[in-house]
Amino acid sequence: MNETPPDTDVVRLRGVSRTYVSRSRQNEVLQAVDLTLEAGEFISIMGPSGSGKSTLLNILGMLDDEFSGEYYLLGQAVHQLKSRQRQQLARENIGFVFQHYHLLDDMTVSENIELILTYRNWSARQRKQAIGDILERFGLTDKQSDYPNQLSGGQQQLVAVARAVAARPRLILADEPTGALHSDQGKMIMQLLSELNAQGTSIIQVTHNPDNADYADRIIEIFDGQIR
Amino acid sequence: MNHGFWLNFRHACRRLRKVPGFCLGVILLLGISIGGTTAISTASYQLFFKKLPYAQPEQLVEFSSIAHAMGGFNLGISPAMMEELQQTGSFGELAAFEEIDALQDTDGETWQHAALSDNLTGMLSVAPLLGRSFNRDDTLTNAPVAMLSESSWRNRFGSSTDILGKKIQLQERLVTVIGVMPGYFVLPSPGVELWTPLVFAPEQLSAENINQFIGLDVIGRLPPDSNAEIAMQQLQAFYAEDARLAPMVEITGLELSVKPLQEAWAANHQQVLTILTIAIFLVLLAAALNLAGLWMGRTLGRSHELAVQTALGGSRWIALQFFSIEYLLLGIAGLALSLLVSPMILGWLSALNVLDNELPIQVSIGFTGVFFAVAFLFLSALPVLLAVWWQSSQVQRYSASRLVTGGKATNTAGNRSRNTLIVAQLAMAMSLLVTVTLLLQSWRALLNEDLGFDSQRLVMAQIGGGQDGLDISDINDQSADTRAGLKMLAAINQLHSIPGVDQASFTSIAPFSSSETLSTYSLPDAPDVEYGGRTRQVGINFFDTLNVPILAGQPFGQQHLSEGSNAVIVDQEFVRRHFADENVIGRLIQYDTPEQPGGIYEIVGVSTTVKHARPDEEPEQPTIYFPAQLPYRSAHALVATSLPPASLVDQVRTVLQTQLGEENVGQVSSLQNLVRRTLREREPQLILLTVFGCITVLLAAVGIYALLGYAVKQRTAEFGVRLAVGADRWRIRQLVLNSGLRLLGPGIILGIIGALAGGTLIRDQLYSVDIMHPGSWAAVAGFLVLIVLLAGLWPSEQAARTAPTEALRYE
Repeated sequence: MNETPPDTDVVRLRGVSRTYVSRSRQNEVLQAVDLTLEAGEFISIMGPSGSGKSTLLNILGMLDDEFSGEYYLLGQAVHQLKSRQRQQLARENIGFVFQHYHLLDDMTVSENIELILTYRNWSARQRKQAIGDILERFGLTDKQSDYPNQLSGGQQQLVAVARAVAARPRLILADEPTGALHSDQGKMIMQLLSELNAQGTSIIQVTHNPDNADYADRIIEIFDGQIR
Repeated sequence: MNHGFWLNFRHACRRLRKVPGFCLGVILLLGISIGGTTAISTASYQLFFKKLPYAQPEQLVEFSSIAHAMGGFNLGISPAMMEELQQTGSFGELAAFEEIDALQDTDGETWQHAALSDNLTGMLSVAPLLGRSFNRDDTLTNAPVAMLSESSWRNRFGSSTDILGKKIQLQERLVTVIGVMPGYFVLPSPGVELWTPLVFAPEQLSAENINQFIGLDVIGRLPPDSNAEIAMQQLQAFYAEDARLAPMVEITGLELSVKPLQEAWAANHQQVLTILTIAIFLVLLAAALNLAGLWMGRTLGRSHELAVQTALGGSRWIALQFFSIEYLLLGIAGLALSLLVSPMILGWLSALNVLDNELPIQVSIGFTGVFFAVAFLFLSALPVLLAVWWQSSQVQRYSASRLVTGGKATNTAGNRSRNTLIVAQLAMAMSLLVTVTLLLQSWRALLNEDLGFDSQRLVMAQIGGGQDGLDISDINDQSADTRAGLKMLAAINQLHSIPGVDQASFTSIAPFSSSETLSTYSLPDAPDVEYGGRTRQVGINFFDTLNVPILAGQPFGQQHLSEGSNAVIVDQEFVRRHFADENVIGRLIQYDTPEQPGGIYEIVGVSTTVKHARPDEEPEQPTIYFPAQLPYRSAHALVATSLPPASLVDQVRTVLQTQLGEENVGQVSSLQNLVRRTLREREPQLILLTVFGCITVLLAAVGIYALLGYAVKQRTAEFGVRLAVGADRWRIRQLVLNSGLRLLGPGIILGIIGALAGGTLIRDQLYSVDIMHPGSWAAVAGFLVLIVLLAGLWPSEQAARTAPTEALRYE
């Protein structure tokens, strides 16, 4: 089972399971999931509520490390890493986009972006350069000093995407990125993700929306913890 | 510098700006608790640990001789004895100084003055800032010279370098300034401004006057091969071998001591400062735990934000870094406040006499205080940062993954930890309050102690003894003493003209007047055995006026004033000592007076034992009362009244001053006030411990309020559901209050342990109260229940007012 995945794979899951143990019973929310994401690929994961989508995304984003099976990210065996090493790997390679943006209310647009660069120990000069570039690229230069509550939902999600890509991750994990937006704004965000994908960033998104799912190269459906 | 520091710094400032009330509260809490701890710790350090600013301070000692039978008065060392001790060579070098007094110059300015023996500055190796210090010639020639303190030189003479040779007219004496002493030299106390040489009259130095004590303070530099213990044994041997001194030890209950100088100076403060240091550290700890609870609340409140940061790649240290910056920002402000507050607290400690103003050690905040304040700030930060670290790691661990479910990441972990903090605070409050209550009970017991007379209805006035004597030119015949006595008696009789005065009498020494006379007497069957006793010459209605019960025989009457009547009344202590509680009426005692050497007196009555110096005193000596027709030279007038005695004080003073002249009327006070004064040394500690106890209770109450308030917010939906399914509002209130009361049990159990420790520490200050005094324990426990209920009142009311429809929206 310990075969090394091809270098072109960004993500490779082999037999990944996740079980929640409660006092009375065990609930296996993911059952022996196999999944491969190649470099530059865009995957949409769909499925009903409780099917295991969020659990899968948590494991992929290394927010949940209590799984069994094998998980390789860019060739590194995540399941064999210690907590600190996993954090380091996630920090360097993964960007998150959440349904509810989760911008920090007390920080301006540029500070929200700067924050994740400080986690990656970028120097002040590097941060300044990167923030300037990303704000310009996303058309947010004139909003850089605004606080999240001064922005529309679409603008906030735009900032959240900018934040996710600012540190140039190899993989973006998007959890219902348009779930809290109206359709025009949702379309704009999906087009943005497509562009990022076209520029080489691999993306896995979880969505209920078939239209948004269609932006992906591949759609994976998950039911009762199993991929079909 | 960490890459995110300034970003976090800006962020922390921004967040704190949004909660000015919180910031102000934290700054005040830190400022007051650190300021208090700094003041008390600095005082303790400077008194007990900082070396005295003199060369080889470990060889310096203080000599004292406490006469316990005279109310604990320090007789010091007599000038003649000082000379003799010095000549033995065993004690090294000895030097003396007198207590501070006030002198006026020709401009009416008052100078705080003290006299020093000429060798004192040399013995301490203190060099003058300017000029010279006293030398032997100054003493031998009684030279009119003076040294200035540095502060008076700077304040009164603007640090003039021409000060040497300047003349100052101090009352009748014109003195020339020969030197200025450095600021740290503050003998006998920091207020001193000017010194003159201490010169003794030749007869004072004569060996036959070795037992003539004038309350002289004597310090010495022991030889290198000696120490305080050896010197003490030598001093005791010196007393034992001298025929004039040996009986004094027995009669006056003399306790001789030679103590290292620093220990002697700090000794009176040791217990009170130790207790206050422990108490203020408990307050600091309670404050720190309270802050820890507040910051745990802040961490919980920011669970979502922390989870987001974790999901975006932040390490588990991000919360710690952020909250450390927040705490540091408020801590610096708190530190600044504490440095403003601590000198004020030092001032209050002095005003409350916790720090003796007459102590020859300067206590100030200085660099030591700043160091302590910074150390206490970091100490207070420890529980806060530990709490934040623990809480944030819980939040980060459990909440980040919930972000993906699309909701907000919240976390309830940590409520248990906050409960623990509250329990600790309740325990500390309990410990302090029980200690305070026990002290309070002791204080009350002392105030209500049976003194052997009725202190509640008496006014005492010191009369006679004025410098120029009474003007008795209007009374002819008789001796001067008799004429003075007649004048005083007339004045006392005049007191009856004051409305409300029931009786007036006099005594040579009134109880609690801080005066004492001890004499020797013997019993006829063993005339060579001398006993020491208190003797009083009293007016015949003395016992009536003071309401001193006569237990056997009769009180004095007119017949006892007639010539040839040698009646005395003795107290119970006398009977217990000499006659094993037998009937002593008619028994004889032998007592020498200049007028009647070998006089024989008959016991005509036995009174209860009157306490003379302190309500808690054990009878050190028996008391013998002699009937007197007239007051003699210096006496105390006593007035019994059915009105509040304090209301009569001014009238009594006016009548006596009119009759005797102002300078022949000294202290006038209610006896109640004099009794209270003896308890005054207990008051500062009681006041401060009460304040500390109240602060701790307040902190615990705030903690409980915050905890319950937060819990109510968290459980709003639950309360909504309960109300929706039929729970009445009283049950909801009960639910909230119970969660506060549940903390009380463990808090009280831990508090009992702390209180037992506190009680042990103050055991020797307890009077008529046992550490396990059930009333005190029950009162404190009841008070804490009340505090918890009060603190939970508003949160429980909020919970009870929850609108079910509104609450369910929280879901």
